[in-house]
Amino acid sequence: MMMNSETLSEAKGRLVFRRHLPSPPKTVWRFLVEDKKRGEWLCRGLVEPHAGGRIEFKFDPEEFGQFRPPDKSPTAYTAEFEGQVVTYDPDHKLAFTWPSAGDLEDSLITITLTPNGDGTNLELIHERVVRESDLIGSAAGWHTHLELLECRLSRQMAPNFFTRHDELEAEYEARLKALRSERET
Amino acid sequence: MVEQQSSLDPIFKALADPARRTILAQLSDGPASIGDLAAPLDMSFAGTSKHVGILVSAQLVQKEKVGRRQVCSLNPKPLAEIRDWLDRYAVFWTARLDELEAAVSRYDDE
Repeated sequence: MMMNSETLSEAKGRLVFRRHLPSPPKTVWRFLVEDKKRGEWLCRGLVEPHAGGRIEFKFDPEEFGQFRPPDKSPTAYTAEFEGQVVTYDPDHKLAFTWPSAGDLEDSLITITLTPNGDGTNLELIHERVVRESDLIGSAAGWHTHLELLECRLSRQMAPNFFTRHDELEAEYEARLKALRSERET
Repeated sequence: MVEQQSSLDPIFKALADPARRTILAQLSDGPASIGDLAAPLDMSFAGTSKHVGILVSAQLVQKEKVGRRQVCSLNPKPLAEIRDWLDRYAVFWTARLDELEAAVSRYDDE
């Protein structure tokens, strides 16, 4: 059994998440590409099934049901944008771009699924994340979303998404600060 | 009266955030993509898109898709509604200022 892990490398603008999921790759894949299933842990939208295709990111906390923020209006968090599919290898690998701010090159996300017993080892690499604020935001974002996926697949109650996200953002900010002071000494 | 207040609610809520006011200020110079808006904010693309979403639902901003880019522009109508709302208080202030002017000139005369 693989241990869950997260690695941040600020210098390279790279994040690596490893998770063990209780379902086989075939099931996990459907949660990566099917509009409704994807909406239950990340966002809804179309994923065109070929390299060069479009991938839509339609965020709407209504999809998280009881996990949406209790005190915010449901429209407050909707966001819609899109990227490009780079690799589409069913049940195995999905890579896609994610838009960046200003003139920065789009960042790249690669998700690889490997069977492990009855479950799946998932590796998510987010690279070309240039700005520090984006690195922290992405780390907290993926961490919270992957937790939601784990809970969804193991049929467990997840914590409130937005409370958890803010908690993790503070944690990653502290982690990045610690990494930097380690490097400087 | 109640109806007008409810239409102002989403506008004031949308304006009650410094990042969203910065976005509006940027758009007052002309249309911009979400990526352009995110750059000076030190905010992620996704975060900026959420703020733009709030401005769009308050109808302060309109979004148009140009290829993969989304171009945002300012919609001045709700701002005019706010001005109309403030104008009602301007009457009050103007009256007070007139009184002040009268009082000052009386003082000068003495």
